[in-house]
Amino acid sequence: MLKLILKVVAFLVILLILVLSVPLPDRSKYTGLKEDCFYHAIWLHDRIFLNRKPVDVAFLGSSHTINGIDDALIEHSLDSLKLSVVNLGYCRYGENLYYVLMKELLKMKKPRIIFLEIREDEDRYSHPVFPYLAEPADVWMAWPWFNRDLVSDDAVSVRYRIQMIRQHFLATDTVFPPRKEDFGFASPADTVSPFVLDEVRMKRKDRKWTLNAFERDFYMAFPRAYIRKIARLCESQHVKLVFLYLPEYASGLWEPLEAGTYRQYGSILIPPREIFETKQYWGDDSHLNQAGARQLSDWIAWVIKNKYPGI
Amino acid sequence: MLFTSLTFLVFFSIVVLVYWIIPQQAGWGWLLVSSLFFYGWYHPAYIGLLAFSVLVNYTFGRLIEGSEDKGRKRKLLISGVIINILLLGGFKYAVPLYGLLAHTSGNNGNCGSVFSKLLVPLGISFFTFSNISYLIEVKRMRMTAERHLGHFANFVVFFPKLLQGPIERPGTFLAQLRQGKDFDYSRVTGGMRLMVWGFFKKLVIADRLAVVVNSVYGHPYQSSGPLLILATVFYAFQIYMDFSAYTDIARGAAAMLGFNLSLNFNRPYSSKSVKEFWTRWHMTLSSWLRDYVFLPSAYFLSGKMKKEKYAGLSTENLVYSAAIILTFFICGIWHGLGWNFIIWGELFAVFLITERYTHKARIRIFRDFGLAGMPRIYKSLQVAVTFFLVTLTWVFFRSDDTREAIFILRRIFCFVTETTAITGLNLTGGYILCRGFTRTDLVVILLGIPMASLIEYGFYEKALWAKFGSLPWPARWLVYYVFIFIILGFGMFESGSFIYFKF
Repeated sequence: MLKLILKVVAFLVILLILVLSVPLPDRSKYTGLKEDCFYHAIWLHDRIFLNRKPVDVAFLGSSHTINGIDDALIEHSLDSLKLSVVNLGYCRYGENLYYVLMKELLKMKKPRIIFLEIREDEDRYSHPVFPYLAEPADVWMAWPWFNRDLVSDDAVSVRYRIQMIRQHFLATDTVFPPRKEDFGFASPADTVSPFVLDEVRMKRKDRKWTLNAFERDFYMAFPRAYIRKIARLCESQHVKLVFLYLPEYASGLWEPLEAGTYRQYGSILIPPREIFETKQYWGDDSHLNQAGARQLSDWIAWVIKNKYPGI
Repeated sequence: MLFTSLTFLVFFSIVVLVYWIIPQQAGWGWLLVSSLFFYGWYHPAYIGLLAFSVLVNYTFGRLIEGSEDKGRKRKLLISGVIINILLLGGFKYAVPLYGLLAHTSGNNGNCGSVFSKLLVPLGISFFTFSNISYLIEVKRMRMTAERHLGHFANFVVFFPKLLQGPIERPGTFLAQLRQGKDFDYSRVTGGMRLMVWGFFKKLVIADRLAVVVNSVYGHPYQSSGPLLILATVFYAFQIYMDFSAYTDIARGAAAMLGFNLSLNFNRPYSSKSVKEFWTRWHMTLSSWLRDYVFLPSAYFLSGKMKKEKYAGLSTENLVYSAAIILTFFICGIWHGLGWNFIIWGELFAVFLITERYTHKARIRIFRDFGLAGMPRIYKSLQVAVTFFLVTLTWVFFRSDDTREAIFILRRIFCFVTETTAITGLNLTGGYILCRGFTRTDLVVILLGIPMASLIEYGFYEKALWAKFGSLPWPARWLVYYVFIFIILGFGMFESGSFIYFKF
């Protein structure tokens, strides 16, 4: 019985190694995500790996970043500094994905400063797209403590890899032409109804952030570990790391709950309240619209010019 | 929990591991719990039905055995069989029957009643036949009634065979349950191999064929004759690969738990006659029908017939014909309450009777054509004709109803007479590639079916299993990896369940 178990385990380990060692083009894992986040993964890949334009200032984060940071506007505002700015946001939140994207970015480009989106509180779970884009080693060696998604991420990673291998070798994957856009900002021009925002404010007024210190240490161990990894990566590459606070409408928090963690690794940038309090600046209750993004981006450009002139 | 799902693999790994770790005395309990969990995964509510079926048959078995009086034994057997048939009929045939009656009474088949909310319990046809077999065997005193309720329950609900068979004979299976089991390395690894082979046939071949078959049979009125021919031939292979794959996985899983399940398929498409086909196709059902329907009805009729000849036909031939018609009527009905299934069964009856009546004439014709001296050509012709006849019956089996089947046959045969249309069958750029079937699928099918047939020929005729087992382990592992990569690379993992689930 033991002999069989050992043989089966050895067989499966070899199988796993074989599956993971099949060479695949980097782009396939991004194209495999297809319509997820409006085909944004393909653009992310092409901007990092194919587009020769340098990246000096990068923004990493969720849809709050995609909708809120007008990278073209910031670059234009910083024209005198000749800085190349890019918004590398991706839908949904999770520090481990930003770690993966940052690794990819640092492989190909030499950014001087990276703005990492932070919100009211950290998400304690893995980003849903993490097992799709991360290197197998990153998924398998993912921070295991309090990582609820470790096993499912491992399974998804292997399954996705098999799918990629099938698509690649059977040539059944959809061919996406290279995306040449320099900027990742995308935001609606529309403004959400003020009545909707009023309702949201009423609901969020009573929201309680209830984790006590022990629970916070327990649940946040996972995202904190990735923030630490991100900070170390930036440090090793001499890249300045700034945490940019992008809350949702009427969150009621003017500083993130994990501020203490962020301060250990970099400075926190908290935009003016008026931007987030003005109803006309919101496309929905979580995302800024183009008018809001313009305000926020102007302010960020001003900050870069005045606070980080030497980058 | 499909056999081909990841959930099943996880479930099964746990079952096997625990089964061989716990003391042997507790093995039956663990198997029972696992089987009920497996069944409950589909419809937890029907675990009660399964329990009822187990208790009724266990009780009737004991009562039949305990009864001294032959007449009482007979009455008990009839009662037990009727309860089983009512259970099967009540669940399996109530909904279509209600629809049929409503349709006849002008209600246009509106099944808005409680019947329409009922789901047919999975595997009911299979475990009911196993139960009937048990009662008859006890009545015939070929075995003693099982005393151990847990063992009997395992005979009925053993999860590898519960949903699609093989329909095990109680004597052999219960004897295995009673025996102590030692962990047998070669049997367990043999089981694994059989399971991998089943996965290959199901995921790589059967489900790939299903793409074309479902597309064409889903829209037969929009399909051309060549396409219908192709889909029908594909279906012949699909149903074989699908059902035999299930059996292989079931037999492999059982072997890993130390049980031998009966062989259910033995290269049926290499049969030289329809009669031989039924000794190679769904063998546990055909032997069940032979032992409990055909032979008893033939004995009964022989006893009733006094003369040697009726209307120029020998009594023997008449008895055979009547018994075969009845047997294949039941075979058709067992698959479903529809004229298409009845016609499917009765077509086999017609073929078998014709084969019997024309046996001498056919030999004479072949001798006259000089084919007797060319055994290979003669055999190939026989195999081809048998395959043609069997494939013809699949049209009824696969169609939604008789009208559709007749339409398909008409279109197929109209096409055959109008040979000009044959150029329309463009395999590389034409019809089938428009049906969700890619060039890769076509290549996989064209290579996969001969390869699978060749390997099965090796299994059954050349003892390939044993030879393979004696290879050094690196060579065996290499073959496993190749097969696993083929399954992972070409398997259709998004596909549906096994065809025989609905029966």
